[in-house]
Amino acid sequence: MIGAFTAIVTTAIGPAAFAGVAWGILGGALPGISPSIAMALLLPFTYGMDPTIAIVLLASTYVGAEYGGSIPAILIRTPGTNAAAATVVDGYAMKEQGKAGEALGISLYSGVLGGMVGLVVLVLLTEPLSRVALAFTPAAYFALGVLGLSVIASVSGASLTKGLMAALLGLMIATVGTDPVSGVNRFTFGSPELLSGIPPILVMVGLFAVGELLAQAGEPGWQQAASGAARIRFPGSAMRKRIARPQAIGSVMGVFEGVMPGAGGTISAFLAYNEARRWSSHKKEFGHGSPEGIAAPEAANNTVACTALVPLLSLGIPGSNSSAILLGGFLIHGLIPGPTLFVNHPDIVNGLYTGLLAANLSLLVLGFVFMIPCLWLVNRPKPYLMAFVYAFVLSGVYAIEGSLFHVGVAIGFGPVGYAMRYFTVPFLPMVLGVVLGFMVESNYRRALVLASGDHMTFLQDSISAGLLGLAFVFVAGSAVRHGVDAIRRRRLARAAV
Amino acid sequence: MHRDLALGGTMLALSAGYYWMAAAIPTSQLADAVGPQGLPRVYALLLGVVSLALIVTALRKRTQMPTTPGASDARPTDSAGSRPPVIRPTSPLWRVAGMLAIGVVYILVAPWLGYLFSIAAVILATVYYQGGALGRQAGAVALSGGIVLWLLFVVLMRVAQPPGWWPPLP
Amino acid sequence: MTSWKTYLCALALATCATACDRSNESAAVVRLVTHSSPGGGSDVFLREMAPHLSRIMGRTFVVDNLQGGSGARAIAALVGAEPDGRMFYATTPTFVYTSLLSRPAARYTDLDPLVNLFFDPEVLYTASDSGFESLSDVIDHARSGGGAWGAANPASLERQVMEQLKLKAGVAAAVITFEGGGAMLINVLNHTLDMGVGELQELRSQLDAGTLRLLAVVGDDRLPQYPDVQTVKEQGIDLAVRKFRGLAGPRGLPADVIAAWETAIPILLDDPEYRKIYIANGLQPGFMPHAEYVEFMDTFGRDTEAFLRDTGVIE
Repeated sequence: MIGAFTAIVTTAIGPAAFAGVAWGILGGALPGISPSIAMALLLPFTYGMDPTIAIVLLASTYVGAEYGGSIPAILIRTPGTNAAAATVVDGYAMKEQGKAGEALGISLYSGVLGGMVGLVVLVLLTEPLSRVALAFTPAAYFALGVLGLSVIASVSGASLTKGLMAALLGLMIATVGTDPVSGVNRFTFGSPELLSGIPPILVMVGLFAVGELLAQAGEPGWQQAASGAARIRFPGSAMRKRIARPQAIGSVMGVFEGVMPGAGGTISAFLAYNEARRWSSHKKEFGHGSPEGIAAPEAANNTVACTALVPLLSLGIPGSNSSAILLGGFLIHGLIPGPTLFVNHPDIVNGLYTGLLAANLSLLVLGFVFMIPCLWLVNRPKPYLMAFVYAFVLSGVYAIEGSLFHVGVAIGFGPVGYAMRYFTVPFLPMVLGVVLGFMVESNYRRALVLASGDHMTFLQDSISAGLLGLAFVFVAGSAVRHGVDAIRRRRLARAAV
Repeated sequence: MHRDLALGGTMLALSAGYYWMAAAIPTSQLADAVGPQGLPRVYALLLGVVSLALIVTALRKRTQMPTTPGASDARPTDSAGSRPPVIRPTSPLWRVAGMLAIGVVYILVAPWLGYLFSIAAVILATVYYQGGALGRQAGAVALSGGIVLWLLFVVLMRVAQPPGWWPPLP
Repeated sequence: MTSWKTYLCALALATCATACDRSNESAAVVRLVTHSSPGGGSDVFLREMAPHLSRIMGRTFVVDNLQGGSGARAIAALVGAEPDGRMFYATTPTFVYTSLLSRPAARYTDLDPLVNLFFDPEVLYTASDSGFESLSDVIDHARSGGGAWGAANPASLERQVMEQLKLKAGVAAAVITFEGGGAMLINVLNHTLDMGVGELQELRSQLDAGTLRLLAVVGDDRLPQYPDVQTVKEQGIDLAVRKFRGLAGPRGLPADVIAAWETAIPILLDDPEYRKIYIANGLQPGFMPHAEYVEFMDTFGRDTEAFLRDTGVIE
C-alpha cells in the first residue's frame, strides 16, 4: 500500500491516472461518447508510450467515464453512458428540486467508494473470481439477461401495461442487424449501417435528450432553470449513513456483473436500483429524488469499471467494449492479458493496480472540478441550455463512428420520446429492452442449439436456474405490489364517489 | 382515456406490421430451430396482447366513468418522470416539427458547410425555437459556442466531425 | 474559483498544443484505412506496420479508422477516392463477407487489390482437460451423436470453416456462434464446446499457460511456432482456408504505384525488427504481388459467395 502511494507520487502513473480520469469524465459527460469511445479516441496516442502508463491512462479513462455519465443524467436527464440510465430517475428529480449539487455530490462519493471496493476485489480476488466467469454458459447468460429484464416491473411507474409495451419495443429494436445464429440480415432494409444493430446509446440520447428538446419546444414560455442556486454539496454524515446500504448493494452487484464477461455495467446498475428500493426505509421517495436511488446505481457502475478487468487480466477475455479497447491497448504493446500476464509481467499488473488507486483518488478531486462548469452551464437560461444540449448531442453521436446516419437515428428517436411522453409510456423499460435484447435472444438460441432444443437446459444449469428463480421472485413481488396498488386506488376512487 | 386508446391502437398496428416484416425474414440452412424469425414473432404477438389489454382497460374505464372526462387523464407522473406536453390550440406541434427540422437540416448541411458553422447555426436556431430572442447576444453565443465545440471535439478530442467544403487547415 | 480558471488555462494551452501538432501533418501522407476500431485486428496490424513501412518507402503513413457498417463505410470511402496511391484499405475476409451479405452500393469488387502481406492462420483448439487429444477424437465424439463446435461470428470465415468441416467429416455437430472470440473461448474452457476455431493471436496467453490445446491448423502448412500441430489436411480432411491481410486501393491504380509496393513489401517482410513483431502476433508472411492477389481475391470471393448461397444465407 505504501509502495503504491510512493509509486503514485514518484512515477508518471499518478499524472497518467489523473489525465485519464479527466478525459473520461469529459467523454462520459458528453452524450453519445461512451466509455469505450473515450478510450478508443485515446488509444492511438498511447502507441509510443511506456506500456504501464498507456494501460493506466486507458483504465483511468474508463473509471472517469463511468462517473462522467451520471453528470448529464442528473443535470439534463440524458444518461451519458448506458449504465447511467438508472441514475436518471432520481438524479433528475433531485435536480428539479434544486438539489443538483447534492445529487452530483452523492454520485461522486458513491462512485469513488464503488471504485475502491472494485479495486480491492480486483487486487485480492481476481484468481477465484475468474473461475466464476468460466462457469457462465449461454443458458446462464440468458438467465442473467432475464434477471435484468425483470426490473422492468419496478421501473414501469404507474402502468405495468405501458412498461411492458416499452420493453417489447426495446426488444424489437434490439433485433435489428445481423441475426446472431444464422447471419441473415433482419430489419436492416438493405442498409449496411444497420448490420451491427442500433447502438443503445443512440436510442437513449434520442429518447431522453432529443425528446426533451422537442417537448420543450412544444411548451413556449421559458424561464431560468430551477436550480439557479444549486451548490456543490458533498454528502454530510447523516446522508453518508443513509446511502451506505444502497452503496453496499451497488458494489456487490457491480462485483458480480463486472466479473461476467459481456454483461457491461447496465444490469448491475438497474438491479442495484431495484434492490436499494426494496431494502430502503424510504421506499416512497424512490422516483421522486431519492439520494439512495443515485447512490446504488452509481456505486454499481463504478465498481464494474474495476471488476470488469477480472476476466480481462486473468483470462484475456474482454467483457465489454471498454475492456476490448483496453485489450487493444495491451496488444499494441506486445502484452497479452491472460493467465501468463501475472507471471510474465507482474510489474505491469502492479502498475495498473497502483494506477487504478490513483484514478479513484483523482476522481474525487476532478469530479469536484468538473461540477463547477457543468452546474454553471446548466444554470444558463433555458433556450441557451437547450441549444447547447442539441449541439452536444449532434456532435457526440457523430463521434461514435463518424456517421451522420447515426445522428439521423438519434434524431429519429426524438419524436418517439416525445410521443412516449405524451402517452405517458416510461422510457427505462425500453432502455432495458434495447440493452439486453441481443444478449437474451442470442444466448437463448445458443443454449437451445446446445441442448438440441430442450428448454429444460435452463433449469438444469444451476447458475441459470438460480438466476431465473430470482427473476421470478422479483416479477412476482412487483406484480403483487402493482395489484395491491391498483386495488387500493380503486377503493379510494370508490370512496371519493 | 382517448390517449390510451390511441396508443393501444397504434401499438396494435405496429405489432401487426412488425410481425409481417418478421415473417418475411429469409430462412437459412445455418439457422437454428428457433430461427431468425422466432423471437421477433413472439415479441410482435406479445405487443399485440399488451396493446389489446390497454385498449380493453381504457374502454372499461370509459364506461365506468363517463361523466368525468378530463380527470381520468390526470394520472401521477411515472418513475421516468414523463410529463405530457400540453397541446395548445395554436398547435405547438409545429414548433416541435421545427425543432426536429433543425436536426434534419444539420445532417443535410453539415457535410458541405462544415462542422463549425453548421453547429453554430444549430445553436442559433435552437435558441430561437426554444423561445430566446434573436439578437446580437444570441449570435455571439452561437458563434463562440461553435468555436468552443469545434475546439473541444475536433482539436482536443480529435473526433472527426463533418469537414465541409473548406480547404484543409495549413 | 481560481482553481477552475487555472484548469481552463491549462485546457486552452493543451488545445493550442494539439492544434499546432496537428497542422504539422503534411499533405503528402498516405492514408491507410481500416474498418476495425482502434485496438482491433486490422488497426493493430496497420499501426505496427506504419513506422517500418515509412522507413522503407520514405513516406508518412496515417492510420484512419472508418468504422461502421462492418466495413461498408470504409469501402465506400475508398471507392470515392482518386487512385493516386494516397489511400489504401486493409483487406480482410470481412470486407468480402459484408459486400456479399448486405449488398452495399460500394463492394469489394469495386476495389483494386494491391498486394497481400500476411495470412492469419486459423487453428482448431480445445481445452487441455477436455479429454480430446486430436481432431479425430472430436469428430468421433460428434459422430457418436453429440458435438458442439464454436465459431466467433455467425457469418464469417470461421463459421465457414466449421460448416465445411462438418460437411466433409460427415457429422452433425452443432455449430454455435458468438460475438467475437472472447465469449467463445470461455465456452471452450468450460467444456460447453468441444472445440473452437480462431486466430493464434487471441489464444496465445491460454496456450502459454497450458489451458488450451491446439488440434489442427486450417491452412496448407504447419505453423513454425507449433511444428508438431498437424494441418487438417494431414489429418485426412481436405479443408484449408487462408485468412488474408493485405491492401487494396481505388480502381485504376497507376503501374508505378503498384510497382513501388511490390518492391517494398518483400523488403518489409524481411526486416528483422518488423519480423519479430509479426511473428509474435502469430502472422505468417504471405506476400502476393498485384496480379496474383487480384486472382486470389477473385477466387476467394467466388468461393465465399457459393458457400453463402448454398447455405441459404443470401439468395
